[in-house]
Amino acid sequence: MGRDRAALIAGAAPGGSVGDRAARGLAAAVPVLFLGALVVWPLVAVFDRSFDGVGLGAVGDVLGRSSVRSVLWFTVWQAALSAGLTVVIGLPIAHVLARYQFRGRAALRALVIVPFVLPTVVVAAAVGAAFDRVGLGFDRSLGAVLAAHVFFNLAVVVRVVGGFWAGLDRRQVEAAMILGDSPSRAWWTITLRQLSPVLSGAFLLTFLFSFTSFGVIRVLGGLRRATVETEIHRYAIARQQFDVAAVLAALQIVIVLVLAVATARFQRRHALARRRSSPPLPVVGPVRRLHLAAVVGLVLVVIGGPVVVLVEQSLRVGDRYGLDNYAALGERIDLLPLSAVAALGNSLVFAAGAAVVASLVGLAAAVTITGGGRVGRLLEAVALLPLGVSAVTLGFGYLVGLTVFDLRRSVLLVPLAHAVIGLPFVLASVVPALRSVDPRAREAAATLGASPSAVRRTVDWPLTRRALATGAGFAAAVSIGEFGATSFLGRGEASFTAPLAIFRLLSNPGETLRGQALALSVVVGVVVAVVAAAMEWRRQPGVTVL
Amino acid sequence: MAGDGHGAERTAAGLGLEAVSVRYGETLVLDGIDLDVAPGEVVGVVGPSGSGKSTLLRAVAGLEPLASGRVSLGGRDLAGVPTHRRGLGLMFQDHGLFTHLDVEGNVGYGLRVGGRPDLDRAARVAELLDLVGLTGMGERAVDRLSGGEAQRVALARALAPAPGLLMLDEPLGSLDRALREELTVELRRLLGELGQTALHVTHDQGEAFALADRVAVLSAGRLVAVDRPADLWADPGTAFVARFLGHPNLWTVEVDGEGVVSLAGTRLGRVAAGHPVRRAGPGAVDVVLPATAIDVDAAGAVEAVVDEVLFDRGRYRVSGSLEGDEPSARSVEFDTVTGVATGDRCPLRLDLDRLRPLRPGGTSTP
Repeated sequence: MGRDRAALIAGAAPGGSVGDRAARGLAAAVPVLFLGALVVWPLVAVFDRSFDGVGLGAVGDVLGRSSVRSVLWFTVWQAALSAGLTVVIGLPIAHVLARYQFRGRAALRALVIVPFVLPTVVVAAAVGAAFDRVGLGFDRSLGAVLAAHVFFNLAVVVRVVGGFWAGLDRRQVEAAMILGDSPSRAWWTITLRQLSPVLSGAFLLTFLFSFTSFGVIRVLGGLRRATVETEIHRYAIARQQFDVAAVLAALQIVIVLVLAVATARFQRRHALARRRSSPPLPVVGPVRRLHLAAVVGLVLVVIGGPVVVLVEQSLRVGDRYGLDNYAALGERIDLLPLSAVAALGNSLVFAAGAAVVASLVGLAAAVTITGGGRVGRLLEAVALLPLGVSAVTLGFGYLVGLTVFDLRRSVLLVPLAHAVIGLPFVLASVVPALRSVDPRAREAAATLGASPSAVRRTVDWPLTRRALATGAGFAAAVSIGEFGATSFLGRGEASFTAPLAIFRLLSNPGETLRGQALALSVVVGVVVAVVAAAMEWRRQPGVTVL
Repeated sequence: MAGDGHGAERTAAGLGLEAVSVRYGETLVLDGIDLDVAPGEVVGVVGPSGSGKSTLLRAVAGLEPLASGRVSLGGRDLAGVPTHRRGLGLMFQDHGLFTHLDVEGNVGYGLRVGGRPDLDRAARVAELLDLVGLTGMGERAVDRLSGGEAQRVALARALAPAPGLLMLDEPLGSLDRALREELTVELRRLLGELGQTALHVTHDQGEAFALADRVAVLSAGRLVAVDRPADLWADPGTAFVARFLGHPNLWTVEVDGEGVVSLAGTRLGRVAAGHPVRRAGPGAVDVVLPATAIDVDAAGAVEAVVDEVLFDRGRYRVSGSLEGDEPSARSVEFDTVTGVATGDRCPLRLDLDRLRPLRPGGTSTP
């Protein structure tokens, strides 16, 4: 009966016209077909291929190879190490952003949050350049991989932990101190214990993202460091052994789904109700000042450092500085199927297409999801799959799955894949906005004479269009930097994108190529950061995408 | 002049409910409600929370499907008529204003979706803002309004399209006491001037008594009483209604063949032949006596010992015990302007003409 009433309020029955019901059916059908064809079917195809091609015995055979086992082992421990480092470094940053009030707080926060949407190859290029510049003595590839993962995922820790921390009631710590605890002891006995579930949640999320890291490993991992993701790519593209790649992809999907479900369960179990939040503290006194200075310094080194070095190195021409690398981006070179600028043009066109498709599908999906019902719940789960299931498995799935009409060779597949990857961002923005529309306002509109379609046009739409624009902007930003799926799909002139160009320039020797790669990285990074920052700035109050 | 500019458009419609039932799953939330509201009449619907008051409004609005029964407005059966074609006004407690529109946009919303021309609309919006005392505030953002202003905007919005029936769902529930009383008076005047048919739901029986021409009491989805406020107060009919209205003196008295009424062995007085209590007797009769029918009077026939005194806005609200054998049955509450203290013995005069018998109420106790 809950659904009856929801439908009634939406105006479907008993007065709902046939046209209205048809519109709702269409709204459900669009995302169902889209996700069915571009998420579910490719993943099914991967499994089908992995069993069909080599048989069950051979699956065991592939998994039994010592090379595969060592790849899996490296994937796990680098992810664990990345996650641990990120949480440890992120904790003091989250604390300062959650608890202190100071000038430049918004800027510091943006500096930590925006990297999350920066393209993986750009970040990898920046971190690699920083490591080359500083010339650290230890294993460059491992250090750089970890540093890049920390660079990305600090945003996750600051969002998840910081958000929770800001909602903690400080009076409990104050009570402990009144009862005789020293501040540091109160921190250990009260605050850390209260934070431990979110810390674990942030660790799991970061682990998941690092486990499925692809671009960073491809750029920085060198020849020896391979993860499951890069192995899927190597077997599928370099060796053309689809069967082995399919087994690895299936393994990856299973692991990731288990991890994602565990993370979601864990978060739901520990989703504590927001308590009374305490207002942030002013930064007064030498201890707090020192603390704040240390944290700002940390952020500047970990995040600002690579960015500054990237810009500096991109301007480096021999032993002087100049814009030569940037000027060269417009020229055609043999290494690339088209000039770097033209590749960026492709990226922007794909981004626009991906944003439009993701908005249309996302809006239809959001309407169905917020309408409740079984289709809505199913859609919500499936639409969020691309967040966990990696872009690489998705891209590979298109190669093995979309054989009808030879769709896998179509240029259109790149923006469609990007739309799939951007869809969770659109939903993260639109669904809460749509849910926050006061049902009373809809009912009031109906009693005032607004038909169901008029209610959607005059009440729902004005309250969600900004959220839709925000989601579309993020989808575009993500599309511009997308590397994993595009690595499988981007072939030839028409579908060659800027991140592919950066990768190809970086993976070939020569100072000139490296300089151009860094220059292109700066351009792409700036475009993405500007789009993301603008979205973050203009976002609807109460709607958080990142 | 309030409202007459467009008075011609209004057809103050009468509302009819016949055996209306609403079901949530297995539960009957409304159970066979019969209620008629005459054109221009204001009916207040009261009842404890969960009694189905708001569901009743939602059923009339078409926001809740009927399990059975019939709702008609101005003689027209509303079955199959969607909410937006019913020509109603609805005002909520949490007002449900459109946050993306300013005051003028909110008030003019119903006119706009109704396709009124712009000029006409602006005039009507201005007229309504005058009517609710918000002259010149059309361009305010609705999230900048005080609670009272937001309620006025919600009222103006509901009235703008000249609805056949105005429905008020706890319209003043979120306001503080002083503002609530002020707006109650205003609303009463406004509804009267407009000749507006209205259905007013509230848990606050004081508000209903102040606003409504008739009050309907709901209990567990059933209509247990409908009457004019003064009549309902004087003769609640059942113990449930009496308690819900706040009557303190509910007794089981003995009435003999001579009309002598006694409570737990104490003689209270005698009622005349033809008095309803006498007709309910002889024997044990459940009765109610309004607190205002009891006066402290040296010549009073009954004496009570004061247990507790509460000073409330110039009056003492006293609860005491009558002398008698059965302690549980002898409590009495009354008001007085003279000071009394715990332990005092008060002579009381009871106006037994106002004693009313109570039927066994077939409903839950509040």
